[in-house]
Amino acid sequence: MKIVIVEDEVYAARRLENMIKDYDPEIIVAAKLESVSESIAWFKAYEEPDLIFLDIHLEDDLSFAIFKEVPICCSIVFTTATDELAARAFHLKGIDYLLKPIIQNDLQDMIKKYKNQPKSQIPVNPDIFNEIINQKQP
Amino acid sequence: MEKFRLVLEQVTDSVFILNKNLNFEYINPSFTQLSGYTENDVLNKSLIDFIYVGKIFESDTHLIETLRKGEKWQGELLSINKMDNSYWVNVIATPYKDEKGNVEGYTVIQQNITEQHGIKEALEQSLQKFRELTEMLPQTVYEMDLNGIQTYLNQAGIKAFRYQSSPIGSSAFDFIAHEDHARMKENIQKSIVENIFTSGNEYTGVRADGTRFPVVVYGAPIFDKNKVVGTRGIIIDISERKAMENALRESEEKYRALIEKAYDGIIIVQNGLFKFTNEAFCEMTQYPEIELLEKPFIFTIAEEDRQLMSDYHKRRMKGEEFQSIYRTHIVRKDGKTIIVEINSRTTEFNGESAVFVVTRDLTRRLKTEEDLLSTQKELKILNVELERRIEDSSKKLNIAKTQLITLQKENLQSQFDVLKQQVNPHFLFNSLNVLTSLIKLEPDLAEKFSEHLSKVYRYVLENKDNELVDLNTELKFLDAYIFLLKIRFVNKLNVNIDIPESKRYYQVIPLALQLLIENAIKHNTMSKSNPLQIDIFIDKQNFLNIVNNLQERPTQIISTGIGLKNIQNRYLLLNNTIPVFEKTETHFITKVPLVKND
Repeated sequence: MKIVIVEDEVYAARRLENMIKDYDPEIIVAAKLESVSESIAWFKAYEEPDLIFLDIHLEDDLSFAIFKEVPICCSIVFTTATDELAARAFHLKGIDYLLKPIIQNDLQDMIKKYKNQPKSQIPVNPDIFNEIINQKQP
Repeated sequence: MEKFRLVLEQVTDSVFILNKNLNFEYINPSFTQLSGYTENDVLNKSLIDFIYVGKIFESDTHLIETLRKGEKWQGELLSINKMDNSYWVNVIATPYKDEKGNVEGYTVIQQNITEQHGIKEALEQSLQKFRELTEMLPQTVYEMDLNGIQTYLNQAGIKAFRYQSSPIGSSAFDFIAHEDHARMKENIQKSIVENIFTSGNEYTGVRADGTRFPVVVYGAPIFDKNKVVGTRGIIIDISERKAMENALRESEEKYRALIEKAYDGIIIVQNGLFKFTNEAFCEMTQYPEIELLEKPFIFTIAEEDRQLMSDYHKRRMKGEEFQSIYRTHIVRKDGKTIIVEINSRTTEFNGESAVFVVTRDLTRRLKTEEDLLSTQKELKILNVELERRIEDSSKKLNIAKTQLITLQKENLQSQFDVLKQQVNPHFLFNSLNVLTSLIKLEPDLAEKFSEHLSKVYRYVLENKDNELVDLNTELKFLDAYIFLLKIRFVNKLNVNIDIPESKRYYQVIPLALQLLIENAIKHNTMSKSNPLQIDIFIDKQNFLNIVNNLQERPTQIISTGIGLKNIQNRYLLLNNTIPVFEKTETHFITKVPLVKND
């Protein structure tokens, strides 16, 4: 299984990687990406992984911006520490997410869920995030 | 004939008879007595050879010529007696004729008038002297007869009236301007009738060339044997005097006008009497001029001031010269007392010491001052009233304002509370996320992180209710907070704080800097290659500046802006200058006012 971590906080990314390997050393963390621009470049260059842990708030933009540039068809689990409203919206739409700091069991459940899931042929529609973006933030 | 002879012998008049050849035929004894000649001396001798020696007067030849023509002659003759002494006679020579009318001879009767003639001669001489004298006089001297014909004019007169030669015979009225003729006639008649010496009649003289000049004439009648035959007098050119008089009058008029129109009362007092008063003084005292002039000045002075005034006046009348200014009370005609400022000096009036006094009615001035004072008082009252009203309305305004502020405060406080509750969990979870990551990866760093996180949270809890906090305390908290951020955003964030020690005891609202830094992170991208740079310093205007380079995130989460507004409102609650936010092409700048620590 191939996983890509998109996380702008270095220590958080490293921890997530460690947690994944602790759970299943065979899983390959194909890349740790820190920004939208870096992610776009990588996804254009490389084959899609099986699963992406995608932090919402990246150093150069919100991660939703990636979908406008590159069609992503693989499974995605969003991560966030603070975006409670976004998390609630995901929940309503059936989108998976993990709250940071990530708890080991939650992570394992997610990996289990997506380990043998066949790849979707339909890329993520970037528009579904519009209303999340437009929600007022305090 | 004998009878006549006897008569002729007896008469006192000298009688002699001449034949037609003017030879003596008879002389009476009176003739001998008068002339000293006897019959032997003169009979058959010619009157011409004998008697008339020297030709003093024209009458001599006239007599001879008349008699030769056979006519009567009467006149005065100067004759010489046998002793060669001259004597005057009044002569009546009458020719006598025959039946055919031929002159046979002359009877001559002589009366001795030597005595009378002596007087006349003396008179003539004195007249001559007088004439000579008058010729030398610088003034014009004239004589005229009763018909107004000029009978004499001296050299000075000829010159004064600019005649080439003596104008004797012309009318005296030619010398005086026609408008003065009636007056002149009147004066002359009066002089003649009343037999008086007219003194100083002024006329306008007219010169030969028609030019005019002022003259004064002193005239007196001329008598001849108790009968007035004309007038004589002196004419004096008074051009210069007139010019001087005019100049004097003009200057007097000027001064008089000045004094009359003066606002101040002006009087001259001499020997205790008013000698002059101007209109202003009359108005001031309400006395007409006529009731003041020549009256004692002291009666206008109030009783209590009389002694002083009187003393001063006596000193001045003795000729002492000094100036004095003082106030005194004057009693007006209507009995009212006015206060007057007196400024007097010793002067001279008609050649004697007098006092020149300038009086100024202070009552009017004092009244004006009083009016002014009462007006000021009224104004003051109005002012006080106005101030009271302003104060009232400003009080009401203040109450309203306070109410409004209270409402705003309550509103803001609730907003602030909400904000705090929202900020804190965000930060807490972000920090916990980092800490969790660090625990296995970097245990030592995790420990430090925990310490700093504790500091931050303690600070937040301790100061969340404070309105202000020392900059120094806030900066210490900020160090801890930045430490946490730098671990979270490794190499993506630079915060540079440059605050001198001297400024660290100003105050700021708590968490303002933290909020601004959080804001900067929220709205800008940050990466290792393009880190977010935040500079914190104090500018020349003593504002705390929080400046970050602008690299805005493409997708901005729509912000309520409540964070920035919250900071502003918290300063507003302190009645302080509020922070300002400025966004330039390259930077976002926040200027936070520093509050003095009382």
